[in-house]
Amino acid sequence: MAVLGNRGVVMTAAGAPDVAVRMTGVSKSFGGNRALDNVDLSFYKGQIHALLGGNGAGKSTILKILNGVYTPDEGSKIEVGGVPLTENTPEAARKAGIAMIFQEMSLVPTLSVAQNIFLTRELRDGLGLIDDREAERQARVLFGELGIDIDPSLLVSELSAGQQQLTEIIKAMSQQPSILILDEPTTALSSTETDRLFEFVVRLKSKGVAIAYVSHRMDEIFKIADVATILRDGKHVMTAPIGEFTLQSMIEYIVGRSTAGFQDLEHKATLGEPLVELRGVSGTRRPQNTVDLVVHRGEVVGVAGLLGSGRSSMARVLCGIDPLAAGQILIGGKPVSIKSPRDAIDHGIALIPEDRRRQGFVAAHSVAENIQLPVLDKLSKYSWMLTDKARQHADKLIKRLRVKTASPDSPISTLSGGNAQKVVIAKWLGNDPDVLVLDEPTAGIDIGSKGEIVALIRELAHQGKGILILSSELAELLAASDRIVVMSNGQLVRDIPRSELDAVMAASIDPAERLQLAERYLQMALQNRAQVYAKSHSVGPNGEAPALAANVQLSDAEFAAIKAMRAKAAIVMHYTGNAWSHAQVAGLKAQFNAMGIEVVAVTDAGFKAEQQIADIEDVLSRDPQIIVSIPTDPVATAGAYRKAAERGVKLVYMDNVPKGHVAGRDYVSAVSSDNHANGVTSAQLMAQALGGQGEIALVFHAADFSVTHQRHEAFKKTMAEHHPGIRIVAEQGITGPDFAGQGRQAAAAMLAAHPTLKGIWAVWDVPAEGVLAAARAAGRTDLVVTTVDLGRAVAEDMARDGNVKGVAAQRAYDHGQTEALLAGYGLLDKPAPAYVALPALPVTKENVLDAWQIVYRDSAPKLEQNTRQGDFS
Amino acid sequence: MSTSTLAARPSPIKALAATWRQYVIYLGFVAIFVIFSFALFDKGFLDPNNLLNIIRQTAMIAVMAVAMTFVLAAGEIDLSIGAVAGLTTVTTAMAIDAAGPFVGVCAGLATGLAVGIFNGLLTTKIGIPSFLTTLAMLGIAKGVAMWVSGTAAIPILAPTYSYIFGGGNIGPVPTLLVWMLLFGVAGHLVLRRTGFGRRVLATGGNETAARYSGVDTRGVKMRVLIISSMSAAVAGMLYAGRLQSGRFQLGEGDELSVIAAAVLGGTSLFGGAGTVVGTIMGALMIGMINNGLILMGLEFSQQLIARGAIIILAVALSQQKR
Repeated sequence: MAVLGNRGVVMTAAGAPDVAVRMTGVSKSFGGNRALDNVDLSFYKGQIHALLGGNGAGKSTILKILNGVYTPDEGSKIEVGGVPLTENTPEAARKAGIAMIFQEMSLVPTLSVAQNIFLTRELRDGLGLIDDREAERQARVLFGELGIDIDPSLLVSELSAGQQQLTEIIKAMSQQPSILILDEPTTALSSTETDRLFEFVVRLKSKGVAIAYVSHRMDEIFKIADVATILRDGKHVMTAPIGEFTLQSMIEYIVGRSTAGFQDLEHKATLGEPLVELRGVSGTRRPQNTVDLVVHRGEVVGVAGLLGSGRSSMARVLCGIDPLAAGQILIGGKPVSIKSPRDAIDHGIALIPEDRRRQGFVAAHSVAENIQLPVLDKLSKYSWMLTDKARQHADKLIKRLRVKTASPDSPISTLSGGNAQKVVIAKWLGNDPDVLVLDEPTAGIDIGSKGEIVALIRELAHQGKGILILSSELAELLAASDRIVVMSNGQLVRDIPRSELDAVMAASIDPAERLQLAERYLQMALQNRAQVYAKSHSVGPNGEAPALAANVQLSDAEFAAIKAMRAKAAIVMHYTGNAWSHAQVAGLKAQFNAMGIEVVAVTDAGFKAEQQIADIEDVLSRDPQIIVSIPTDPVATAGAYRKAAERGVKLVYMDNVPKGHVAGRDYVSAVSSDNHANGVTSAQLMAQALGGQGEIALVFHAADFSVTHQRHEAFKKTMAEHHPGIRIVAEQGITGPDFAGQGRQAAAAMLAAHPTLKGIWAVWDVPAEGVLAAARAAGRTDLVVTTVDLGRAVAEDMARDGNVKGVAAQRAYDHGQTEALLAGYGLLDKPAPAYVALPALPVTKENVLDAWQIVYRDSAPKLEQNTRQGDFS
Repeated sequence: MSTSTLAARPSPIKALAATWRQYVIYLGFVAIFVIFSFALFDKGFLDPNNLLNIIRQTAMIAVMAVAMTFVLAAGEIDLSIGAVAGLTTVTTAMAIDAAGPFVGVCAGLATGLAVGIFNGLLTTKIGIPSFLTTLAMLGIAKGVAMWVSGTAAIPILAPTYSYIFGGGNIGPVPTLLVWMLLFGVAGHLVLRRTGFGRRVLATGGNETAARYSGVDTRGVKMRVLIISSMSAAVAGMLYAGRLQSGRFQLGEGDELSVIAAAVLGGTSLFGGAGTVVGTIMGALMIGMINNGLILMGLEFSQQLIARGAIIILAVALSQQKR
């Protein structure tokens, strides 16, 4: 008992038990609404004190005040063990010795049982680190002392609901509280688990712990409570020893009026025709069922069984949630195939699920929206909601089921449990089902509403529906069912007709007692079979004057020497997602192939320096003699290229050269298009299309990248020196990687800010695609767009006489070919020009097809067709 | 008391059958390693230098993924890390240029701390979901980095700094491996064996339960977001050291690789569960796949498809059937 504490029942001199918690004059208001009105209440050590009342009676308010979640109004006094409670926080309440077991599970499902028990009070080893083994050992001792067999090393998510509940209680008890508050602890428990819990609670009581017990289940109250307090409308009604109440009197105090409670059922002489028939039905889940069951029209069949008895599995198969493994389901005498919940709905079967909050309704939606959900098709025409019809539908059902809601538009989360359940039933009634399957229909609902739900079920049966109720609350089954079947281990083990129960109940005329007799009878039937279940004029990058590409040549003898080397090459690109890169790589591969050089890798760095470094490192593992690459960043990647050069790899650069690298020493050569010429050409084409007049904007590449930078500068210089009538009014840099998207955004903003804009230049074809999209979106068919690179999209637009009036094309394929040849120079240690430039190719609508052939060495059939159409139109 | 048991402890074989999916990352890692070893035996995959390359390339992702494990385990997410790493390369490079390496490191850490506090306050005090806070921060950090650097690369001329932060080797061992191990071991111990780690898991597993148990869940969220930004700052400094320069684009888009590494390693996107060891394995597996696919000589498009397929397969296998 190291952790649990060891107290006897403490008695005062007068023999009266010690007060654990005393609450005097406790009130709580929400706005003008008095939820709790001047309540006096004391809890004594070694006593189980039941708190009873309908929804809104103030039970949960009291519990939340005790637990420090709510701060009570001025004047309220709470003492724990004679010490006034001054602070109102969950932490303060816990320290004062108030432990609460919540209605919702308050365990962390992803942690183990032991980790949960010692959460925030973790046990440490000598190094101050958490010692989970010791925690498991201590937890095992705790569980052992209380006779509970749960492995503390299991994850909480692996436990059954009952085991979780017990774990919560152990967690609370491990903090030695003076009062333990249990709020609806048995809701999720089977009857054996409930019995186990009760034994446990009684043992805690004998250790001198004060216990506050909240439940809607009268039978439980009578079974274990010593004292009961009844609250109604926030006021204290009475406190008395349990012996002074009868079931009837207790219900009357709770409801505040005389009520018939659960009534006996009138006998049904005749049954309707069979509605649903299960023949040897078995699901795929364990336990596997082989269930034979008939539900007749107008009949309510109750299904009793412990958790794991196969009760829910059967319902899941019938409702199409789980597949049918064996057997047959007949509806109205005809075999049907139910493969999905949709099939079940189409066959008139509706499931009111057990877990209302998770499966039954959409909490954030209104009452009306929830009711309309399953019948949206019927309430709409051509997918349009018929608002009036939908409203009438919801209103009708709200009225019919007497749902208490401020408005059909109130969120369902504002409703009490009983009313929320009515909404769930209303949802499915809207579909007019023949068969209703209700799983735990009154779980967590107060006694008054329970009676209403039961009455509603009876009424629906009376209207000729066949109803199957799955419940662990025997009193509910007895109140609602014409016949009760008992399931165990996937089998139907008992079929108890009403007459049999009537015979049992005949022993008494007191309604409460009659109910108890029948319950006991059912309990026995259950336990009989209860089993243990288990779950850029361009200069070179270093200012070199360009050599002409046409002068880069190899002799036949040189070709043969290269072929004999059987060399390997890697192509390390900055990016491969555009036509230019693609054609480059194609030119490289074709030329390398002709030279007998194997291309071992092609990489794409996505314009990311760190990725390119990784790519260089990776390809070096293939030991290539050649790397042809376009450095995405001249500074950041310099080190990685240096490493490759030091290993003797022949480097040929496209467009860009890493900082500090010297041609002839560190690399063979650099090749680029004449970027200056590309900038000049695209500027000239723009000026030509605009007639030398107008405002334009530029989308440039905002990066330290000499190629694009040269284009941009050359474009601006050309405009400034040769076309004074053209004014650049806006410039926007883009950084990628989504160049098209950024191009579109930039162009859209430019078009909006400068309505008189006549043209936009984009640094290359991909951003130009974005500019085209923005121009189309703005309805600017007159906008002139020029760019560099003959991409597919800009070529097609140009061929169709769209916005694109001119492109300065880079000869990408030639580019690649030239680089491959220069790599050959490297292999032969033949002196190579430091910088080779490829001339720019001006492209307009007139020469687009020929240009395509030059750039890509490939014809574009679709493009051709478009051009012809363009010519004819 | 009662002799009946509520649930029997599953047998070891059943337990293994039920839990093997947890170890998919390890099985997958070994399987891919073996496949690449055979398929690429003549293509330098097993070359020690190649294997070290994988580690060099993975280190920054791994460092950030360790922190991401904490963030995800706490039920939050941090999308700003790639941009913060980029910003840190810039602030560190500028500070080194102005005042030397020591001040540079301080500036880098301060960058991470400032962003982390900002993310944390917005998330916990104002209650903006971390997804939005950090998504917005991604843009802000990148914008600031572009602005202060004028989009240019800032060279770092401090050999000692570059040596320590990812550029150097201790014998054959790259310092990046040391950084990765440091973060891995510390992260593992903190998550598994300290009260803070436990509070992180509890917060992500069931926030309400954690709060009722006395866990300062806001404090936990604040801390994991700071840890995440600080780790992103360290990753940024490693990038800066390895590339000997600061540049706003460094680290761009890393957040997705980092999240993928953590999820591959078994960390739940929904919080409450995660292991640092799994995360490191996830990061290494992604690095290994990238390396292997390049060595195979696949086209970039083919690399992307193969990589995506492998990742989907691994994650699908690790999912419990529903």
